Parts: sequence; C-alpha cells; structure tokens
Amino acid sequence: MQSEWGGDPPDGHHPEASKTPRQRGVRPAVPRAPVPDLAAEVAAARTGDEDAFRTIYRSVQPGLLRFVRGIVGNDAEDVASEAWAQIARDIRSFHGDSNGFRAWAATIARHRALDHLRRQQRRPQPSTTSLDDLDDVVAADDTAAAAIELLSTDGAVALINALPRDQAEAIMLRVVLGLDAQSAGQVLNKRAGAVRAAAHRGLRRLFDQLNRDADSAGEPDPPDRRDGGRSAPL
Amino acid sequence: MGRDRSHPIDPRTAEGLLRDGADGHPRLSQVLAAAAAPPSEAELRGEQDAVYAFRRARLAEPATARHRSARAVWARLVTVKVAALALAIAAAGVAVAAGTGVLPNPLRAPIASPASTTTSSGPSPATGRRPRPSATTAPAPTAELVGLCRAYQAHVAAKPATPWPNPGLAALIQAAGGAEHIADFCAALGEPGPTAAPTKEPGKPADHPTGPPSPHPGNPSPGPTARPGH
Repeated sequence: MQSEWGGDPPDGHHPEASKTPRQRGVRPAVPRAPVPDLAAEVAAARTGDEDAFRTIYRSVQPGLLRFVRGIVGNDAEDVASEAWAQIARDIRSFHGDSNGFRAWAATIARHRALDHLRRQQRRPQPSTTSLDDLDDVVAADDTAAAAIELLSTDGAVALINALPRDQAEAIMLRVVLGLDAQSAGQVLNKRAGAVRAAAHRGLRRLFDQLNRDADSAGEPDPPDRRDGGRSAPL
Repeated sequence: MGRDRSHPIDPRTAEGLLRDGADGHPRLSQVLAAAAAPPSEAELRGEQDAVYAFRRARLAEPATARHRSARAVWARLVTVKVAALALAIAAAGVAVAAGTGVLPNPLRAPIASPASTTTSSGPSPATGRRPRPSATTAPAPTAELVGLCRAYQAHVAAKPATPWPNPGLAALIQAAGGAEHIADFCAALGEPGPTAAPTKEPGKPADHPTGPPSPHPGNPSPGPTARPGH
C-alpha cells in the first residue's frame, strides 16, 4: 500500500507551518545499542548453565514479547511463556550463533502465537492505535511533539504493530529483536529481499502517519487535550 | 519504486533506521528506539517460570519435545523388563530351592501361610525379595523406583550439576509427580532395601548422554510448523 498521505496533509495545512515548533521538541536521532552477542551464553545454557539461561531470557524476552504482542495482543505474555518452555526444552538441540539463536527463538514464539490464534479460532486483531490513542501512555500535559518524544515503549510497539502485518513483523524482528534481513526472513519464511521491502514500506507508512498525526495535532500545549481530545489545528 | 526513492524515507534511510537508527529521520528513529527500549520489570516477570522450565528440561534431558512420550514409554518398558528379569531370576532361585526341597514350591503350591515363606528366607537369599510383601510398600514398582531413586541419588551426590542421563528418569519423574519432587519422593521412599540393587541396571550408561540429540536443530520450529498460514 503506497502512502496516500504523502505530500501535504488533506486539510491543505502546509507542513512547514507547523513543523518548526515540533522540530524543536524532537531530539536528534540517537543510535540504538546493538543487541548483545549471546553465543557464549547459548553454548553454556546448552550444557545446563542456569545463569546463562537467565541472561538469555533477559536479553531476548522483551523483544519476543513485543513481537508476539503484534500477533496475539493481550495474550502475549501467555504465548511468550509457552515459547520459553519450548526454548528451555529444546535449546540443547540448537546449533548456531547469537543471531541464529534470536531467530530461532523468534520462530518458536511466532509459531506458538499462530497456534494460539488457531486455537482461538480468530484472525489476528489488528490494533488500531494511532497517536490519538496515546494520551494514556504519555505524561498528561504533553504536546503532540512531546508525545512522540516521550512515547512509551508500549505506545511505540503498538504503533508499529498497527501497521499491516507483514510490515509490522518485519520491522519488529529487525528493530526490536535485532535480526538482520536474512534471519528475519528465516523467521517469516520469506526471502531477505521481501522482508527488507516490507520493512521499508512499513517505515514509510509510519513516517507519513507520524507527520500527518503531528501536523493535525495542533500547536503545543492545548492544556485540556486529554479531556476533550485534541484542539483543532490553527 | 520511483516513488520509494522520492519519499523522505528512501531505502537507504530505511535501512539505516532498521539497523541502528543512527541516521534517519529523528522522529521515526525515536519511535523505533522506544520500541526497542530496555525492558520494564513487568516484561521480565516470567523469568522464574522460564528458569523452572529450563531446570525441568535439564532433569529430563533425554525427553526432547518430540520424543518425549515415546521415550517415556520406552524407558518404562526397559525398567519393567529389567524388573521382570530380576523377578524371573528370583523365581528361578525359588524354584531351584523348592526343587531341592529347601522350601515349598510357590508356583505349584500356593501355600496359604505366609509364614512358610518367611521361614524360607533364611536359606535362600534370592527369595528374600520376592513373594513376601515388604512391610512398608508395594512390591514390584517400588523395587524399580527404589532402584531408580538410588541411582538418581548417587548421581546427584557425584555430579550435582550435570543432568542425569538415565532413560528411567521419565518413569521416576512421573512417579514423583514432577521433576522437582524427585528428591523428596526418593527421600520418602526411605532407605532402600539392599535387594533393590538390580533395578539400578537401566541407569548403566551413566557416562555418555543417552541418545544423540535430535538431529534436527530446533526440531519444533523452522521446519514442520513453519507455515505461517497465510
């Protein structure tokens, strides 16, 4: 789906008009820390080292949970815990490096999630979160710009997971689980190029959505934003 | 595709965002950074359960996901066979003893009085463990489990950190009602009688891990179930 939101916002409001104040509130891009290499821990856990397994859990679980949330929503914790039971059981038969392990774990989690959906006999319920819904995940008196800046992890994950499924999965695997396109492709049963393309499409869409929402969110500090929704632009 | 390149998030920018967010649109990069932020406590609250699962898996080493039930059955069969063999040997001993007139033949003459077997336990050591119900517990399965318990306890004493590569483990776990209860279960069985020794047999290959680990790495995952279903 190509962005229908490219170019000027539908209301004719020119992007430049509202960009300046917001741009002030947005800090420059900060590089994310690379995901830790778990090769040594995986090797140790395979021989029964419990501490190594704990380290692995702490490193992988957050991404796994956020990824799974995009598929099963509120049941993510249960599904993730099923996935860990299986990981704990089968880690002995895993062979590969750190990246491979993350991909393996993500594959297991995804299968558990899809099984869960099948059990529930329902289709994935696309979350419809947009910036409008994020009032409860940011501090009360934030402006739209600050809402983005102070976006909680839950809010950010919800935003990404609200993208079309393939795009959301590709972005989550790459950004949150730290997989490269190749490994993400293994998880999704797709070629690396397809995953890359889906992730790029998702990012463009997200970018457009952020701009649109921010542009229509008005100037900073409508104080009663939470009560009455948003003040009209201009 | 031309449209992709004219978009502010061109493929190169997108790739940078996906990789580490270092170069790319600030706003977008912050959303991604928030999505990849360090975990909250709530997100890690399943840790202990995961560790328990890990512990159980270590204890039940040979029982891999796919082969679990088959292995359990197999392990049970082996231990049962060994126990049956022990019984047969014991019975043979009894038969011989009976044949030689040392004691009445229990197979042919089900003599009502248990006293007779009691008296016979002196001359033939092999008969001691067989027909006479032990004062504390049931006969055959207990002997088997006692043997397993002893082997298990011996292993724990010798190499506490390593998994116990005994195929009979599954039966022991089942009897104990869970891997984490084995220690208590075995302790509750009391000091095992000396005659329980033979059933220790199934644990013999204590030095090499039983069975090769399943040849398919992560058998549960990429292969069979890998169909995303859409």
